[in-house]
Amino acid sequence: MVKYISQRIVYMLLTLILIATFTFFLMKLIPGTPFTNISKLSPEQVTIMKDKYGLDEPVPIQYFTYMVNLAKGDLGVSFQFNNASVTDILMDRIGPSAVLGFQAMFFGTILGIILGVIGALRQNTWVDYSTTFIAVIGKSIPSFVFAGLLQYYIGVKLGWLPVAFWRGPEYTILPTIALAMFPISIAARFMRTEMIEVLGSDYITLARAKGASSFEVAFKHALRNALIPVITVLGPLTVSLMTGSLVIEKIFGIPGLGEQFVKSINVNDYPVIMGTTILFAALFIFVVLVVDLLYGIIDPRIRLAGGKK
Amino acid sequence: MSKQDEKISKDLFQPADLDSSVSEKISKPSLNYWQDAWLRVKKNKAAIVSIVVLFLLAILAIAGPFLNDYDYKEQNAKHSNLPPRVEALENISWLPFDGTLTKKNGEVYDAYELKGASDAYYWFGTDSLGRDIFTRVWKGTQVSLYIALLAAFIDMIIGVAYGAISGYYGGRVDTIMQRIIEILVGIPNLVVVILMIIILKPGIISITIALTITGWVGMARVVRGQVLKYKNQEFVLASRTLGANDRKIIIKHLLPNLVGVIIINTMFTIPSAIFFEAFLSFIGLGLQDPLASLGTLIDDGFKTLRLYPYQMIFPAIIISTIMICFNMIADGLRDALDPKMRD
Repeated sequence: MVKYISQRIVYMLLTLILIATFTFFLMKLIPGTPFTNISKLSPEQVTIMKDKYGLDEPVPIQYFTYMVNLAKGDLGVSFQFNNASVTDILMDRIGPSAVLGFQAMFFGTILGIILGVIGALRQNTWVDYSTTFIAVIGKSIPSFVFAGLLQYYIGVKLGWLPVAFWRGPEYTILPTIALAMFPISIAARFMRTEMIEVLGSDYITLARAKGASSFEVAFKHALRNALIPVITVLGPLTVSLMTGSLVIEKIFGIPGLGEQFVKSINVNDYPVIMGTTILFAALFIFVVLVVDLLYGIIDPRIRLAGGKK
Repeated sequence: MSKQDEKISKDLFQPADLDSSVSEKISKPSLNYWQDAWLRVKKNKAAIVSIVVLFLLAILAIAGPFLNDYDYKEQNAKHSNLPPRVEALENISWLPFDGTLTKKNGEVYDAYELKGASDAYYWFGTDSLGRDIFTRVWKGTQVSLYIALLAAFIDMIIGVAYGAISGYYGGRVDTIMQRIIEILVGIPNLVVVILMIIILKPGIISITIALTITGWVGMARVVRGQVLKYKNQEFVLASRTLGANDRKIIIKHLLPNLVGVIIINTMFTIPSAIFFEAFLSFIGLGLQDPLASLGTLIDDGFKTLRLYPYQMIFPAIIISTIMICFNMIADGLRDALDPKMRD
């Protein structure tokens, strides 16, 4: 187990270094400079600016400096906000994104699991068909379309909930619903399949034969084993939440990482783009590792590679 | 009862002919893989409906831009932001095709009269530059479908080749190729796609390339797993004994066994490519005007959603329908082609 974990962590670091390198050189390839109004600046001013941001040094040295700073947790300074440290900008903005992501993941997965269980217990009835339909809809309709329509009909037309911004718990409801659609549908589909499989197994028949009520069979015996594989979808769900957060934070004007990322892309703020990219990648890799380890711990039937045979 | 039994004489019975040609006769026609799969797909009503709907949408995407006199990039500033109006449907009050808009204070007015365009009919309305949304929507559907199909096709080619080579040769080749995949899987594709688009500048080909950079990994993994399963079976050994080389074994003997898996995987790639293209447009990395895709249309429509909701709703309905159809067909095909692979 220790060997497995350390091996995984080495891979994780390797991937991160690779991503950082990749990002760095891609950013160097981008045509144009961050000084968009360069024609208005005198050559001296440009030199001073370049000197300040280290842009006049040879690329390998810039790369080396960046990687060393990265190891220290310093992601450089933003071009668009006068010298603000990228690390600070990202730290300021991680709060709303984390709240939104957590809420969507939490409520989405739970609701999805409930829908999946209901569907499996009433297999091939209209209940099952409607939960499956909800799942397909949730998976198919792009999150930004759904978010836009929610905002327009519930926020603007009906006026039930705030249209945008981030000023209190009630402001989180609409974006959470929009972001949770994907987790709901993925969890529901997965849960339904797992539950149907578990319900067909011998020990469930035994529990029924002993005279356990159908409620007891479903929730005491079947649900526990069916829940385990659902952990594996948490990894892909994290990615979907990141993708979703970009557009949903833009739509609802939430001061989070995603909104910042989109803005930085539009103004060529390289350090912020690189910083966010690396942060997203690190987050993703970390979640995948945690999910893999959790899976091994929770389900004793699974022996990780390198573990006892 | 017993008395009656006695009355039945022997000559009432006839010897049954044991004709082997009749008893061995196959009563059902023998079905090959595809006929069998088609039988199963046919039972799935959602998949059949989706195929029909998608077929209609594809026809409209090709023919739509020619159905009226407007061009997708033709601007007419005088006719900007006109709501939908259709010839015969304009008098049916509950349909949204009467060419009227509602002001913030609830007052309903005829936008066509106001702009002096009483004799014009824009079926889906016009955008802020006075371009016909009906034409643009179908042009956009064309572009979106084109990008998605191209990306899915390239993913398929790279993924199948990579997976088959990695699985078939095994050993060190496999180890190296799998390490590369492991690192690629660690990178969220969102990040790669965005970075690639920033560098390549948005366009149909660059969006396709960005989508395929990480898109093939899933296919490669599935194909490798399947190749590992088949490569030690007798038919491969037999073929090798008869002198077939590796290339021939992979293409002629292994790949035909993987067709089902490859199709299923490709069918799931298409909707995700459509989504990513629209997503890129929405964060400002999409195609440039005047070219349209469903994503750019939704992005444009979203900006004026409060005033002119119809500008976003039409492309939104179409992209959602396409996504639902592809997902339904993919689900149906998965159940039909490979019952073991359900979820």
